[in-house]
Order: sequence, then C-alpha cells, then structure tokens
Amino acid sequence: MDFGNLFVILISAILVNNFVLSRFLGICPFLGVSKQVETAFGMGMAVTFVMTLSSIITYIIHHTILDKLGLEYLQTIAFILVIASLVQLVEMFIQKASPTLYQALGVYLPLITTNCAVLGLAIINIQEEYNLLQTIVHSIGAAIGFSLAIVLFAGIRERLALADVPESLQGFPIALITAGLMSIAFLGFAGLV
Amino acid sequence: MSIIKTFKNGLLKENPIFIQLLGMCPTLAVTTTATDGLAMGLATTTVLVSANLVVSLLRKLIPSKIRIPSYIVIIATFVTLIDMFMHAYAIDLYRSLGLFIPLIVVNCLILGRAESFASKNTPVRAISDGLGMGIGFAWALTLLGSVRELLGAGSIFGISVFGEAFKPAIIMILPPGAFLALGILVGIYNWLSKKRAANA
Amino acid sequence: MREIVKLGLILLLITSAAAVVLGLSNAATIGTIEAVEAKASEVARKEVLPEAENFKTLEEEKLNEILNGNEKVLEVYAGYKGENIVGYAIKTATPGYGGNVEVITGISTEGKITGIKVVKHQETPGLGANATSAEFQNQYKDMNTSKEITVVKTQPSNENEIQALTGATITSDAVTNGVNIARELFNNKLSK
Repeated sequence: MDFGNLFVILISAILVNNFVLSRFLGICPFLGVSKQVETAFGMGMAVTFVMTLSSIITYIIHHTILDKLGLEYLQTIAFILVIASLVQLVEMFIQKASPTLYQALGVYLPLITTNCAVLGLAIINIQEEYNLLQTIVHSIGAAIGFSLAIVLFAGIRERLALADVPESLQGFPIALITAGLMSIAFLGFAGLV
Repeated sequence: MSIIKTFKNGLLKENPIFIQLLGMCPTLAVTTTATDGLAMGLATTTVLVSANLVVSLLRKLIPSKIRIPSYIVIIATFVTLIDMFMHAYAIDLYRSLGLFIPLIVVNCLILGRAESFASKNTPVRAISDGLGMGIGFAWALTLLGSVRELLGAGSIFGISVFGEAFKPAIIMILPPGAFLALGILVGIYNWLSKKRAANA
Repeated sequence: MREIVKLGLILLLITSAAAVVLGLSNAATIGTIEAVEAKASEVARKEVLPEAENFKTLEEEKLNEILNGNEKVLEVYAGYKGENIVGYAIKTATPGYGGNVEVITGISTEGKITGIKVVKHQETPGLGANATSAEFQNQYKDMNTSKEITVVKTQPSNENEIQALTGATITSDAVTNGVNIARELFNNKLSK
C-alpha cells in the first residue's frame, strides 16, 4: 500500500471534501452544539471516537455478512443499528472507565446516533470500495475535518454573540451565513489534491 | 387540537426548516435544483407519514425502554423501501439524490415526530401531523431549490428563465450558496412572521 | 432478568418483521432494478458506439486478463453489427473531485473514438457535473486513438486536445484519464 494514496485520502477528507462544509453531513450538531469553543471541542472528540470505531465495525459487517449473503439491501438498517448500539456501549463504557471523560463527553453521546455524518461516512466507505486501512484513514480524516469545522465555527460564533446583528437575522440566520462564508474559504482548498 | 389544526401546524407555525431547523443535512445538500428539492421533500414526507402511522399503531405495544431502537428500525425499514422503489421506478432521481436517500434515516425530523407526537397520539392524528410536517418540509425544500437554481443556473425545474444572456452566479449551487441562501431565507421568514404578528 | 428477555424478544420481533418486509419487497423490485440498470447501460453503450447493433462482453479469459491488469477498467464490451465486430465500449472509473467518475468510451475498430459518456459521478453540480453535457462530451468524438488526449484551459489549437470545463479541471482530467485508459487498452490489447 503506498502512503501517498492514504495521505491524499486523509487530506481530501479533512479539507477538500470537508464533511460539514462541502458534503453537508453532520449539520445538526454543527449548528446545535457550536455556541462555545469548549463544547464544540467535546462534540468533535466524541464524534471522532464513534466515527472511527463505527466505520471499522460497519466495514467488517458489510464484508463478512451482508456482501457474502447477498443482503446488501439491509445495509441502511444494519448500519444504523450498529451505530445506535455502539453509541450506547461507548456511553456505558466511558461512564465506568473514566468518569471525568464521561462528564466531558456524556451529554453529546446520545446526539451522535442521529448525526448523519456517522452513517454517511459508513456508507461512503463502502461505496468508494476502500479497504480496511483506507477506511480507517478516511474515517479519521473525516472526523478531524468535522472537529476542525465545528471548533472554528464556534470560535466565530463566540465573537458573533457580541456583534450588532439586524434583529431578523439574529440566531440561526446569521450562523448559516457565517457557515456559508467558511464554506467559501474551504472552497479554496479545492485545487489541493 | 383538531386534526386540521395539527396538519396546519407543520406548514407555517412550526415549519420544520424555517422554525425548528430540523433535517438540515438533506436541506442543504440536495437543493441544487427545484426538482431535487421537491423529490427529497416528497420522499421524506412518505417516510414520515408511514413511520408516524406505524409508531402510533404500535404505541401501546412498544415498551418505553426500547422505544428509540424500535423507532429507528421502523424508520430504516421505510427508508429502505423508498430506496428500492426509487431505484426501480425513478432511476434518474435515485442517481441525483444519491447518498441522501439512505440518510433520510438520520433526519432528526422523523425520529423527532415519532418520539414527540406519534407515540402519544391516535393513528389519524399521527398521519395528519406527518402530512403537515412533511409538506412543510417539502415546500421549504422546493423553495430553497428554486432560489438556488434560479440564481445559480438561471432556470427553475430545468426550464430556462432568463435566456442565454444571463450569467449565472455559480456560487449559489456550490456548497456556500446553500448556507447563504438558507440563512437569508430564514431571516426573511423571521421578518415576515414578526410583521404579521405586529399587524395582528 | 425476565424483563430484559422480554424487551429483547420484542425488539427481535420488530426487527424480524422489518427483515421480512424488506426481503419481500427486495424480491419484488430486484428484477425491475436489474432490468432498469441493464437497459441504462445498453442505451449508454449504444450512444457511444452507434454503429453497433448489439453488445457482448469479451470472452472470459481475455476479459479477466484485462480487468486484472488494470483496476480502473470496469467493463469491456465488443459491439457487433451482424457477425462482425465494429468496435468496443469500455467503461472506466477514475478519481475525480467528489469520488470516482465512470466513463464509457466507444472506439471503432479503425481506431477512432466514436463517443464518450459520463455515466456515474458525484461531482459538484454546476461545475464538474457539466461533464455530462453533450457539448463537453462531443469534444472527444472522432479523435484518433494513436495519440494521447490532453486537457487545456483555453481554446484547443492542436488535435487531441480537450478544453477543460470552467472551474472543474479535476473533473475534466478524470474524464480524459478514463478515455486515455480506454484508448491504450484498445491500442495494446484489442486492436491486435
């Protein structure tokens, strides 16, 4: 396996095809949990954890069970169940193993089940026919891209809270416009790979 | 609340996109054209109504401890059905909506309605709630798709409006255009709602 | 303990009901889906190689040799008019901006490109997605397979040059790479 290929996958997942700003995956937490940098960072870490783990498990399930038995049409239902139970397991595990970590991430974990970035990532990995190593690299890249976008966005929103915004645009509208401007900045990465 | 009022609720007052801001991923991703927006809206409506109906029918049989996984299974089943039927009978739409058909599963709007409405109401009301929310979602998606297609490609539903001389603002159909257009539309919606409230 | 078993059973019941429903509807739609997909591919092959009346995939041994030799080649069909081979339709997948771009290239036995068609892509709407336009695809028509095709950003001045799509050089390169792979495959393996 050449490392060049893996590096391209990683960079393109973080910057060029950023999950939030160009693929539109994970918009709900992106808009919902981005009022403060600290919480945004917590969400980013929780998502990174679940994304990487779930894409490995869905990869194995797809290739050892669904593909072998010709049950590809159960993909959606199988993947979402894996993600939902994984989130539960991770939640229970962290609670027992590290109460401090649980305090930091706990609130975000249940929200991750309906984070379409996680399911989207699992499906994209299968569609692109990545092997296991590529899947892992792509997942880490996607997760870093998500965390990067949400933390940067939270940084801007913290300052935005102090700005004088027209009444009708306060709250979500101005947040969306901000995200649009960030997305323009990320378009600049297009020529990178 | 009467059945008709339940239905009307989702259209304007609690519009899933403009007021509740739910289901943002497909909203932003597939609204590059009016046609795709409408198709996504209708597909979501179908899943929403069916899932609401089944959840409401089974509301006394599903223990509350396992309600979330049960709802997810029910929703995923309908999404897979839509996926299959669109693949078989509407292959062009299937191709252009792509990844976002399976992702209807994680549209928070659907799980949200199942949890907060269908699990507590009769089947008839659950259906009217699903229809109202679904149509509210669909018209907002179609509007957003139309605005982006009009500015970004100079056409609506694939029909050219401005003719050859029009230089489209391509940015509107690129990702940033989705955020900008939705942000401005939500702003206008807020402004109109406030004006109406002030007049009333 | 008893409660857990009960909850598990209810969940099992719901999931098995879901599996049955999906299994049945899969059985009901799979035939149509395959027919629709097959028809779409047949129509696309006909578009890029209009002279052919019907298409057959290459014989297994030769096909496997080609497919194993280059993982970017997906399908190779020979186009027949009556008993004679009039050309080939070659499907390739090359990385573009948003994922693989699948292109079918039609090449006549005389070594001319008879047409190309972008059949599957996830490129940006309004930019890369314009690769499916007839205007872009027709540029490849009648090019000779002996020379490599290159992408330029201005009006092409030499033969075998393609003008890139505005704002979508990566997509234009991906399509052209696909056509070049098909071209080389024809030169090295099929024309002899």
